[in-house]
Amino acid sequence: MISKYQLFCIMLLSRLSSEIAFPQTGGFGFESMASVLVAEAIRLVVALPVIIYSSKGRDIYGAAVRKNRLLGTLLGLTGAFAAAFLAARTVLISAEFAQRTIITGMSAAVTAIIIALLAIYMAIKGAEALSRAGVLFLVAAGVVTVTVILADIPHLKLRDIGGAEMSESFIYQVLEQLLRGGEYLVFAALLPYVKKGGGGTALVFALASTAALLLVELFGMSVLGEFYGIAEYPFTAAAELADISFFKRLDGFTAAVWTLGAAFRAGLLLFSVTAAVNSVMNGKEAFERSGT
Amino acid sequence: MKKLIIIAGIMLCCCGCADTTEIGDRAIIQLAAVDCEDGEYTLSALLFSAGGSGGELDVTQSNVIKVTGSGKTLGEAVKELSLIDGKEIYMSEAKLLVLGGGFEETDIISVVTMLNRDMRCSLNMPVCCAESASLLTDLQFTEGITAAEKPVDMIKNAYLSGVSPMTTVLDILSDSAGGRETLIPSFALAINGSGMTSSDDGRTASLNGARLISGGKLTQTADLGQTAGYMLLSGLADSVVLNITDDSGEYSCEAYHIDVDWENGVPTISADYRSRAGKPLSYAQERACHEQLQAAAMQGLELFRAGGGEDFTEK
Repeated sequence: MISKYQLFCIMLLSRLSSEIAFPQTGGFGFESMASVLVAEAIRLVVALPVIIYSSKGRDIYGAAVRKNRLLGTLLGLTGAFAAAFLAARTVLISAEFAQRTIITGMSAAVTAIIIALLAIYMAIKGAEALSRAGVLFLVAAGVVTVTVILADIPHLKLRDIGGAEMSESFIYQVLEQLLRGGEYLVFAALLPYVKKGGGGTALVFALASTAALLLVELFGMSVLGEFYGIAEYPFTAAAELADISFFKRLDGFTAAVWTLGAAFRAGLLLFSVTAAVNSVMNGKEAFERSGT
Repeated sequence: MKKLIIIAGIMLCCCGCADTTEIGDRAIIQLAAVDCEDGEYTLSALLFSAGGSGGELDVTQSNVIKVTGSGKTLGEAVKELSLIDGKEIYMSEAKLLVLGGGFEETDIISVVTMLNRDMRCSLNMPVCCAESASLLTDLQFTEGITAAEKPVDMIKNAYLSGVSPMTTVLDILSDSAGGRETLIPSFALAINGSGMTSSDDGRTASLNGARLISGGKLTQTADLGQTAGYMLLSGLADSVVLNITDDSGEYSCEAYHIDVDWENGVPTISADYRSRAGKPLSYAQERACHEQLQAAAMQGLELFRAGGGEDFTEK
């Protein structure tokens, strides 16, 4: 069993790693920040039934199956499929991130295999191992991120972020932000493993993750200016500027930490797949036992 | 869980082992000069040599080698450089990028983007220009640990004095993405004493102003006075050194907290003034400083307008 705080930490780590280790959505300024807000609002609305249910129950997939076997099974399998798709996407994208930033001599395919194996290992270890490791990963990633922000203070400038033309449309940016989600799927799948409470965790996560993402974007735009909109990995580019004492060019260290964060995200999503399928199977058994 | 953390820690520490090159097998570029004439890119570089021999080597400078490569693209020029030197090119530690006069016709942004994205040049790397890009690589400054240190120090000092911009790779890329012009410092050949460079005839390079990058190409040229004026009008100058003379003698003063107000397209400069020693000035001295500062700003007005400062002048 895991605590609601651990659940919050692993969801936050997953969300932040998808923002930092994934390529730039092609936006800058208020439109980019608006796309984050719109995407989060859409995710919250879609996840509302799960959030409402979490205040009185745990296993939403099982409950759905017990209510209506066909629809419940469809719901569970859709959640599992979505989590699997996002896990695969995370593996491929984070492999490219690692190959572009730190492991330039290794092919992205080999890197993807290594990340996939790590993700599978994490998923096999189970919810408790994932949650304990996730908290430690979040702390480590947080320390590195704060170090980068502090080291980049000399480069912070008040900039006009309103008028730059976007390289990608607003719709594309929102879609890309939506595809970086999946945390509510994790929430739905891991809820049966939460000790008690957990109802408000999703709402707190929504607020905290949105605030964190907006801060990361604001930081990137303040340091990089319009280059933020065209840099492949803006946070890593900002880390490159660090030049204080021995804190020079922190981009490699940042990339290494967030590659592991992305691998953790993939493992978390993979575990969500198995958890969702298990919930559906348990729900089917309960449905059959009840004889309805 | 412990195994997971151990595995993750080992992966974190070993990620650098996947792509290793011995430091002796790397051609560490200190200073890179790029030019493009008639569609041919020329890349001259000063390479750090641990104890080297061969190449265009001055025995009094055992830590630098100059190598030149050329090609139809910048990538080909880099490849030729690597072949000539026999080592893998490493530009992450390059301290200065010099752009030649050929970039009046050729796009700078693609070159700078390629150097940052593919050759891993730092976003912090200063950029300057010279009519002949290889000016600084030919001269090879003797002062400093690396040959690039001196020109970078010259740019930094001039920037702190408010007479020259200090432009980095990030500034160029950011301004380009934002549709703005960029001002970069310009070097020219000078004859000034001896010992500064490897040359025996007193040849050296000095800052002689700046050039605008507009639409990805080098455009307007500005002398030192115009550059200093542009720096004042665009708010890039935090403080400016002024020299005034009155009946009691000559004074070296400093203007700080500089502010520019625009009215009907005419700038009015306001600032606080003090002596270089930090002491306050008399009313007459402050007035003299103000007149000098205003005159300096007006020198850069035309360049400022050409550099996209029209929005400010209309306010």
